[in-house]
Amino acid sequence: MKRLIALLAALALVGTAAAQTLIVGQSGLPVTLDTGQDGNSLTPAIQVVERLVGFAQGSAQVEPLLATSWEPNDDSSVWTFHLREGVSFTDGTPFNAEAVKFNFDRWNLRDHEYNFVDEGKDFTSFTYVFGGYHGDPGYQIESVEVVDEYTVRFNLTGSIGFFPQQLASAYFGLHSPAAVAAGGIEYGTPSVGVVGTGPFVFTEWIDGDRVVLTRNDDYWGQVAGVERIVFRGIESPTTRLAELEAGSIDMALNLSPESYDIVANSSDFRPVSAESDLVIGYLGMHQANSPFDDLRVRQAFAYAIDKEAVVDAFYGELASVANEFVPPGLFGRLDQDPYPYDPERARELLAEAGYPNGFDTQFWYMPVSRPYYPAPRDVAEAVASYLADVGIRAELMTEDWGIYLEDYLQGKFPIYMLGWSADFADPDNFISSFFNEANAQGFGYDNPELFTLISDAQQAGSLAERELLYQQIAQVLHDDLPALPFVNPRTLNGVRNNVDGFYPNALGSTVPFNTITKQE
Amino acid sequence: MTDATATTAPVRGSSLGRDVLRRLLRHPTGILGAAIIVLFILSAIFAPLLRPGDPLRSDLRSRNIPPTLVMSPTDLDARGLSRGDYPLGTDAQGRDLLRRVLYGGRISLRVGLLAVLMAMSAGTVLGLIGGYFGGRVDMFVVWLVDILLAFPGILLAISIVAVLGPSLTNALIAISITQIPIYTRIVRSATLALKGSEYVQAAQALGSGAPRIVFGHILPNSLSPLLVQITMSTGTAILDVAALGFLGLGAQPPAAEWGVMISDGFNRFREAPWLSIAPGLAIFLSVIGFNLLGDAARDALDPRLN
Repeated sequence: MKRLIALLAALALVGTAAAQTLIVGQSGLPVTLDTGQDGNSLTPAIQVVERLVGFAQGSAQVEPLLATSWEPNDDSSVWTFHLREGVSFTDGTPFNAEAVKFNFDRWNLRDHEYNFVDEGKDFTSFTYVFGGYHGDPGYQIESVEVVDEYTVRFNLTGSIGFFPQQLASAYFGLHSPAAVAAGGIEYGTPSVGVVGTGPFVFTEWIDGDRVVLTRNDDYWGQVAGVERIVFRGIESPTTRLAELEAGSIDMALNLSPESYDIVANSSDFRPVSAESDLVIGYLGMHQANSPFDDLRVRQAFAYAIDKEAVVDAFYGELASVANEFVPPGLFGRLDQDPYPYDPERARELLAEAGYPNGFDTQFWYMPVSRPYYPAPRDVAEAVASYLADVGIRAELMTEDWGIYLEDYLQGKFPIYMLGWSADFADPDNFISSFFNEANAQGFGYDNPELFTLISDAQQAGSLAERELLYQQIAQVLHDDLPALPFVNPRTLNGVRNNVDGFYPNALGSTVPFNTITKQE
Repeated sequence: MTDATATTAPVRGSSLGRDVLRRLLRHPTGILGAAIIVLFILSAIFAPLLRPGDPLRSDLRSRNIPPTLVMSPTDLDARGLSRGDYPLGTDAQGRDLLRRVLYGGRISLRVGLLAVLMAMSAGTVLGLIGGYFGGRVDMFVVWLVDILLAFPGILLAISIVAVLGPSLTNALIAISITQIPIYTRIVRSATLALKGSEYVQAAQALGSGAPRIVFGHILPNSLSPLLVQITMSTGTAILDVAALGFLGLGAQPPAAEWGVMISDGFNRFREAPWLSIAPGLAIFLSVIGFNLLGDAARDALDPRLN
């Protein structure tokens, strides 16, 4: 009898343990847990390593995380952060100003002992946000200074009004200096994992299968509601949906927008999306080459496409048509629809430009699905059909994603599709990522006045001033039409009904999961 | 000597031909196969008449309509459609699937037949050369054939396309290369058997050159296994074209090609199964048509059944 009770007790324990495990299906396993750049890497990583600045629940509004408060100097070129006291990394290393400096120096300084970028580490995400490594053209972080145990100061190369927004980017989780030193170049890989201060602790990463995190019971903040999280990589959105349906995963991230009805009508799970996502998909035209060097051809291109119909067809309720490059929810927008669907006008413009019978060209579409184009081929086929209607006969082409991302900058693609999910919540992250001097090459676009406007807008002190500058930029982009803004999608996630507390924000599902609870 | 061959060959040929035709017609599955093939060839040729319009043009207003052929009358009324509007439904781009399947037949049949003809020409020449000349030449041919046969056909085709780059033309080249060894083997073994025959010896004695003997005497007498093989491998080639298209290595979207169409429907199979079913059935029927005819032709041409 005793043994039976023991057995039952053991079974009950197994039962609760199973209930306490949250299984998350995402489109792939992490590339690395150490400062990755894609959602599949960052969503698990951010559970373990925390940033100085985080976001309010479900929003892109910055709020304290490991830093409790901060202040800039007069021209926003020096920022001082006051750190949370009494926090330590889960390996026992104390969290203090030294640890913050260690992390930023490791990313910023190419000759840092634990940088390893020349040996194959990838801190590209750091260079996205901060303009490059120390000494690169355009780098932004000059030095990091330890003021006292819990005060750290960032000296920047110029004024940046949105520095806390940059720090809130999911890339900049802070790692235990001791663990980084012990792991060396292997730090962040399946065999070593990562150590942070977050609500979960890295447990195991079975390459090609799963990443397992366990609750940090000594977490300084709200202790997590589930005991373990298992992240699984399931490439196809259809398969993720099927697994969600079967109950073999509790949450399916990044489902196809076309599945919205299935998810919304299910009695076992429900759709969860942020209120708006800082994501844009656009269609690029390479204007260094004929025929897109002619503004009239680019305008004809814009008038030829019924964006509304395409977005309706392939994104359903979860997206809106984009008319400018800064997505809704950020400042610096003009809020206008400059190029309505008008195929007649498109034909006229083509004729004026010397193409009364149209022309042949190539339209390169993305080989992979991304939040901005979850079904790239479908969108490409529909767009190509609209273009053919006015005489722009575009052959659909694609190639390996890695090469694609290099080739668009080289001007190999007359027309192509691409997009952007924000690193941080500021218009600069969109405008600079497309149109600063280096990135405007992707459109064969060279407009020095615009480049000056962009750097002015980056450095301007007041919000009102910045807003005005971004509106000027929007007007230039509307007039020059280097690319056609296409869609502002929202990501669809499916969550089973016994799981609560998942609040994706405008930057994606890279949010702490300690708010999530799971009922039996 | 020209007279001698000219008078005997046609008589033999026509009697054999009549014989074969008679036996083929006694074969019900052969007739079925032939009927399917004729139907497909006709529908491919007359696709623009049967279903006028552009198979590539999207119409986003008529997306994902289920086949009206099997739609209930209430659904038809609700959607304001009549039974003949979209018999096989429409795809995610709002394109009529029947039109795309018919036009797809043009690509599949053309590429399938072309691939087989190219493979047969190259394979036959190789087989004749190897079989007739023997020695080191033959060793080289056999070596080449063994290499090609060492890889499964579709895998070899995929590797070739991977090197050449994905396109319909490259898929055609790849498929024909994978089929070359089949023809080489058939023709080579026929050549070896016929090389010692009396009429070949007679031609040699009369001073005919190698090309004349090979193409004038040996080849015509090894035609029957070739014909069977052509029929069979056209089916395989159609299947391979579709497979490469499905994998994104053959025809490129928005081409109305059966494999491409199945891959279009693949991710929507739950919501819109007809997207894959219609082209899938087309592939199934055309392949089985060629296989049935091929089987019947083999039976009809088998000398042991004489």
